[in-house]
This record gives sequence, C-alpha cells and structure tokens, in this order.
Amino acid sequence: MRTAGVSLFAFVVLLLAPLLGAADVSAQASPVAVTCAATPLAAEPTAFPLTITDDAGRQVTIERSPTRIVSIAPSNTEMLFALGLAERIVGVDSYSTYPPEAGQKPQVGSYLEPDLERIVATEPDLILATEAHVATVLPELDALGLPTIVIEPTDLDEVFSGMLRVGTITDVSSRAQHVVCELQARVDAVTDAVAGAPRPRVFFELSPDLYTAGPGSFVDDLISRAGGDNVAAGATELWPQLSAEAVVSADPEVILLADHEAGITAEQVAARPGWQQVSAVQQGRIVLLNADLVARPGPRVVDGLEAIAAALHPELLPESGS
Amino acid sequence: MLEVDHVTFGFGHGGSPVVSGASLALWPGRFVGLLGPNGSGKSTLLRLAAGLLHPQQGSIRLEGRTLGSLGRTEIARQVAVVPQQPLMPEAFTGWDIVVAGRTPHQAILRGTSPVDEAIVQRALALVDATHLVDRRVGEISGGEQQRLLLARALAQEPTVLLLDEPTAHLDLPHQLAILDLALRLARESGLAILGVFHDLNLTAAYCDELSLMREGRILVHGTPETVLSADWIAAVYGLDVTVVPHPQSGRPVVLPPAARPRPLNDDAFPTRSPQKADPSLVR
Amino acid sequence: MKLVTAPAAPGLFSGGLSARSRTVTPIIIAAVSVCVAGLLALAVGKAPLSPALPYELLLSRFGLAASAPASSTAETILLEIRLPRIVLAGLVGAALAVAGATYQGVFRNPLADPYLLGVASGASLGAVLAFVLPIPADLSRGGAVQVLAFVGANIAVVLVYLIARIGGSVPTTTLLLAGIAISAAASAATAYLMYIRGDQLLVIYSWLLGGFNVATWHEVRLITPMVLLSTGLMVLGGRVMNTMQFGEEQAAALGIAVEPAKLLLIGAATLATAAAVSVGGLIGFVGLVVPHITRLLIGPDYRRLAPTAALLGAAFLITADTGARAAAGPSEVPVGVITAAVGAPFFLLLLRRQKRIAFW
Repeated sequence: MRTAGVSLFAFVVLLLAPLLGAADVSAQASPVAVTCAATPLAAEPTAFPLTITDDAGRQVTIERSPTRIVSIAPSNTEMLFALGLAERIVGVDSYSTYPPEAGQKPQVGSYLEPDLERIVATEPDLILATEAHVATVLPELDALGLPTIVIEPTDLDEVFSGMLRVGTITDVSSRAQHVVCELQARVDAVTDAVAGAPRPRVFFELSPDLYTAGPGSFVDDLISRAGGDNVAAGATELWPQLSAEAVVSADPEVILLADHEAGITAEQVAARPGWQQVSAVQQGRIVLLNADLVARPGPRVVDGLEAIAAALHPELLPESGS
Repeated sequence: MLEVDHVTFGFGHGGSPVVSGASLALWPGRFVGLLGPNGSGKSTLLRLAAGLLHPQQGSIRLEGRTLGSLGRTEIARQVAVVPQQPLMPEAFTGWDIVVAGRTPHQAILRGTSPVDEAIVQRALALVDATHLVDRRVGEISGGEQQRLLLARALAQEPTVLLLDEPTAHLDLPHQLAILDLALRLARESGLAILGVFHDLNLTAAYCDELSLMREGRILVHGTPETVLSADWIAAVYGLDVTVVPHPQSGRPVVLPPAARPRPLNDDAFPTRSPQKADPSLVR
Repeated sequence: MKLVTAPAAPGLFSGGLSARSRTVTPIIIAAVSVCVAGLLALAVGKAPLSPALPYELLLSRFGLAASAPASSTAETILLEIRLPRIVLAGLVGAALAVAGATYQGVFRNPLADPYLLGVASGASLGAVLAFVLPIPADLSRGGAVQVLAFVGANIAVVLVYLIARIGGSVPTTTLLLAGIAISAAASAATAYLMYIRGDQLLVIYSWLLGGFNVATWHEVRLITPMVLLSTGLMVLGGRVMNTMQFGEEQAAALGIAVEPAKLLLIGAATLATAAAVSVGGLIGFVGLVVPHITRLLIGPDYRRLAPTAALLGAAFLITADTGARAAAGPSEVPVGVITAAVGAPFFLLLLRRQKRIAFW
C-alpha cells in the first residue's frame, strides 16, 4: 500500500476533477505530507430522499439510506467492499470473487444472467448494475419497483467519481472520500514517478489471437497513465484485433499478457515464429498481468495501474506491484 | 444373353411382392417386348434385369454368371438401360449426356480418348441427335432428351439393351425411327433388347416376342400373334378389343372398342366431382 | 456391339478437339489468378515496408537480382509472417471451395456448402472444449484447439454417416437430415459450454469468426498434406461426380459403385474442410459461392470444376485476406466479413447476366 505523501493541491484537484477533467500533476520536489485521514472538508450526511442520474442516464430516487444492497457485477461488489459496506450486502453475482469474503455472500445468478427470483428473495433496497444489464434485466427490476443504479466508469477518474457517488447514496460520504483520496494518492504517486521518463511501446495481449485494448478503452487509459505508449493507438475500435505482422512491426518494448488463463506463457510468446526480434522478447520484458485487475472498473484498477507501471518502469517504482 | 429366372421382389418388409416368379430370356438378335397395365411390375422387372434391384427369390444371370457376382462396372459394360423418368442435369450438353455412356469403359485416370469421341459421335448420329451435341438439356424437348438417353445407352456398346418406355415422348416418325434402329441393331449387331411398352401395336409390329404381365406375374409369353389375342388382352387389361392382322405384315393390330361417352357413374373411370352430374349430358 | 471399327478423326463435331482445349484453358487462367493474387498480397501489410521490397527479396533469394537492402526484421516479417499467411489463406480457400463443389455434386443440391454435414458444429464444439478444458502446461492451447477442432469435425460427420446408413446404402436425404440433427446437438453443447465459461467468450467468438492473423509456417505444414490429398481425391473423382448427376440409380447403371464413391468423396471433402477449419476458423461463403461462380464461368463438368474451383477458391481467399489487412491502422477486418461483402454482389451480378442460361 502506498501511503507516500500527497500534496494538498492533489487532493483539491481530486474534488474538482469532474469539472476540470483529468488534471496533470507534475512531480513536486518535496511532496507535502498530508494524510487523507484529516480532511478539512467534512462530508455532510446525505439528504434523503435522493434523486440522482445514473451512468445510463436514468433518474433514480432513493428513499432512505440503503441497508440491503445487491450487486450484480464484480466491479461494483469490489467497490462496496472497499467502502466498508460489507454488512449491508445481501447478494452478489457468481463472478464476484474478490475479496474472498464476497464468496460468502448469497449468490443471485451470474453477471450475464442475474436470477430475478433470487434477487427479489433477498428483499433489496438497492441494486448496483452495469451498462450490460440495461437491455436485459433492468426493465424487469424497474417493473418490480426495485431501485437500481447503473455504474459504468469508462476511465480511472470515473471509477473514483462512481465510488464517491455510491458513498453518497449509502450515506458514507466521508469514508468514501477517504478511500478515494488514498486511491488517488497511489495513482498520483505512479504518474509522478513516471512523468518525464521515456515512454516504452506497450502491447497488451488480451487473447492468443491478438485482441488488444484500443484507444478509449480502460486499459489504454491505464497504460497511458503508467507512462507507456499503446501500440494499438492507431486503431479505431475499442477492442481491435491485430495480426502478428502488426505487432512485430510495431516492435513493442513491453508485452503485457492478460491471457495466461488461456495457457499463454512468456515462453510461448517468445517462441512464436518471427517474434524473436521483438524488443520485448529480446529483453525478456513479457509480463503476466492479472486480467481481473484491469477488466473490472472498480478500486483494484489502481492495483492494475501499479502493476502496469512496475512492468513499464521497474527502475522508477522500487516496490513492484502489490 | 440375359436370363431372368423365377425372380420375386417386393419393396420394404412384409409387403406384397411387386414381381412374383417372373422369368425372361433375352437372346442376341432378339427384340422382346414387355407389356402390362400400370402397376403390373414391368419397370421393376426391368430394373431387376439391369441389376439395379436385387431379387429376394430367383436369380438373374448374364452369360451364365449371376449379376450379384459381377461388379457394377462389368455389368455396365454389357447391360445398358434407358430409363423412363431420368434425372437430367439441365446444364449438361448433349455431348455430356452421351459421353457418360463411355464411363464403364474408361479407366479412372484416363480421359476421353479419340475412340470414345468417335463412339459418341456415332451414337448421336444413330438416334438423329447430332444437332443436339452442344445444346443444353434444359433447352430441349422431352423427346430429344429421350433420344440422347438412347444414344448414351448405345455409347456403352452393350450386348443387352433395356428400354423403359423409350417412345413415350416421341412423335410418331421418331417412334418408328427408334424402333427401326433397335430392330436393326438387334439384327445387325446382335443386341439383345428388352423394351417396356404401352403401345400394343408398335410392340406387335417390331418385337419378336412379347411377355404380358399382370400384378407382378408374367401371364403369357410368345409371339405377338399368340400373346395379342382378344382373350389375353381382356384377361390382362379387362378391355374388349378387336384384333385384326396388319394388311402388310400380318402382325396383329389391336383395335380398341368404339368410342362412346360413358355414364358418369361408371366404375371404370369414376367421376371426381362430388356433385350430381348434369343428366342432360348423358346420351 | 461395336459402334465404330476404326478411330475416326475428331474435330467434325465440337465435342472433339475443342472439348479438350476447353478443359485446359480455364485451369491455366485460374492458376495464373492464384499467382497474381499471391504476388499482390505480398505487397500489402501493416509493417512499414516499401511495396517493392517483397519482390526484391524474392528475386534476390532466387539469385535473379542483387541482394536487397532489407533489415533482418523486414526479412523476418515477410518470410516468417506475411508469406505463410498468404499461403495458408490459399490452402484454406482451395480446400473450402473444392469441398463445397464436391458436396454440391454428391448431394445434387446447389445450396450445399462444406459445413453441411455437421463439420462446422463439430469443429466448434472441439475448439470450445479446447478452450475450456484444462490443458497441461507444456502443451500449447492453440495447438490443442487445432487438433480438437479437426477431430470434432470428423467425428461429427462419421456420426452422421453411421446414423444415416440403412442396410448397405446411405441415402442422401437421410444424410442431410442426420447432419441437421448432429449440428443441432453440437451447437447446443457448444452454447452450453460458452454459457458456463463466459470468461472465454472473446477467444471463442474470435475463433468462430475465423481469420489468419496468427498464421505461421507451422499451420501451413500442418494442413498441406491433408489438403493436397483430399483435393487430389476430389479432382480425380470428377468423372464419377458427373455420372452421379444423373441420380444414384442411373449412375449405378453406368457402372459407378455408388456407395463407395459417396463414402470416398464425402470423406475427402470432410477432411479438407476439417483441416481448413482447424486453422482458419469458420470462414463462410467460400465453399458455397466459389463453386457456383466457377460453374457460371466454365460449366458443370466436375472434371474441370473441381480443380478450377480449388484454384479460384485460393485466389479468392488470398484476395479477401489482403482486403482484411489493407485497412489503415493496426487492426483488421474479420476475413469472413470480406468474403461475404465481396462474394455476394459478385454472385448476384453473374446470376443476372446468366439468368437465361441454366448453369446447374
């Protein structure tokens, strides 16, 4: 865990981030040590009933602070646990595997196919969903009168604003701000450390047939912040598929493997015909990445960012990954 | 020569046989006709003779060897069939149809030799279909298709020729031409020919022997004079005919009964319409 | 009975000499088109190489020109990545096209394509099993996918054949129905596996879509013997297939051993398709349309149709893959999209012009 000092300026920037967009924090010579525990801005308790617009543009009214929360997406589950709301969770989807305590919660179906009956049986007063559920199960949840909020962060900043919003909805705003502050501090530590360093060319391998993350995708954002240049930057799709020729001729200096669950190892990549001259292969910079850290838009993306940064700039980040 | 010896055959299991105890002999130079009402088993018997169906009882022997002991190719080199309702790929040309008859004589890897081509040309000439050589099957008449099929059979250079209603779609001049050709091939080249026909008179005029079938059995076999008698025709077809000798050949000529409008409730041709017919139409 | 006593001079009728030349010329043109497509494909790719470089490299390899100033990177990209991909696309295109022509001939059905008897669903099930089953660490999962896809395709067709066999014969209608049944069963199993392993959806979907973007000489070596063998069998069976167009009974009357012929031809077509699918995924359209286009161009004689369709199929898929690679930016269009987008309008155009003339 990074508890390196954070400048007050960075903290204010965090609160203003939705207005200013992602702000670029340049490295300070001597960071001012301000811990996130003492926040000058005491968060006010939430006023209920609360009407918000969620990430799918839906207006949802929360009558009172929810105490029985169901999460049907693993990213949202991780958010809830990070915000210390574990006791309030009454149902999770079967893909919610982190933290391990989530496995002890009642399951309400899979992420792709939530089980309506089980959801209703838990008597929830709040359901956290994602964009993937809008077309499928959301209409039925609305018809049953169950307050459902869609959380769909598309980049790192939106993960934090999403967590703050969940904190507001569940009336734990000050705790949420604290958690987000610490996460932001870690993010800033990374971006500070890599600022000005040469940016290596990075290939992020999502599948053995060379699907990768394109511009505008989450992973692309993380690679960028971690101080790297995505070789797929010229693509137009969110998840483009490249060819061996495209990757080899782009000559990435670091290869991030997110498909080792499909059995792909660094040795196999190095053994691919024609890949021997790729810089990443020659220097042995093929790094296995836990796909969950970058696939779930929740608090662990910061872990993902740190892992990517450690792979890209091992000399700048003494503690490699967490 | 081809001998069909007391064959019995039925489709499926336990059904009544379509052909029962039928026997035929086809000799070189002889033209045999096979007659009978619809559904009497004529075509089935022909397919049995060609080895396309296997009898459940009895045997079929070609030059003394049973068909079962011969390979398909060997049979096809000697026995040629002209089918009644064939599948004709529309884009094939006349040439493609007839050259298929050379298949049993061509090795797998060898193409069409000049001898093959000459045979195909000759076969086309014999049936007067030379002008069809580049025409597509889809564009020619049924009769022209039938002549191409006969040419294909001739291109096989068979010793036994089996014809299933070969004159069905032809106009009279072509009917006579085909039958003239068959008879000439029998006499000059020693072909053994079996033809299934509906036309009693043409059969009588050309065939050396006739077999008359009814309900799967051959009731009578012999010369046209013997077989085409008013009694036998009445027994097999249930028709009341007059048989007179042909003024030139002396062969029997079958004259159907005089035409008369039948009452609409006659069993021989039951009316399909459910309403009561107009009685003023009945004479 | 003898119809002729001495060989007559051919040429009196058009069926003679010109028939032979009709056999040879289209095949030569088709072979040339494969070479042209392959050579053009060499110049296209994502690597920032000059278009002339591949030709300079090849010429210098054959000693016909001075050694080209190419870095070893460029040489590796061209010879280890781009060239095998082009060759593989050609092999797969040839296999699918000639298998499609064979299925159309054996079933006498213009809608037949190489995936008809359950090859596609069997291959999909095999591939999906390879994606979801645990594989020992020292084996390559990619190799497992290829093997299981190939095995699955063949097992499906063998099952279809055994189900459809009645007595000693295998009626084509029953084969088709059994193919539908086995396809449905395999598809259901595949869908279930995809459902319980939703985490593998991307790789499975990508395999189904098909493509050559990770092709190497390894895949070429893997399928070349199979493709050559089965294509050779189908080409040799040209006359047999011509005769089978008259229906199975007439073909028997003309001396064809129908059941063994069907077994051999369907077997060869299945092997070719299984090999193609195991390395290329389910690329559609090639096996259905290329035989028809070939037929429209040179007629229905299978002795000419089989080899010409194979060559045109190779040229077609090489060109489609070139189109897939030609888009700007590092990513590619799935090759199945290109084959459909190119094949469908071309086919419709040909049909309009030839509407009056029967081509089947």
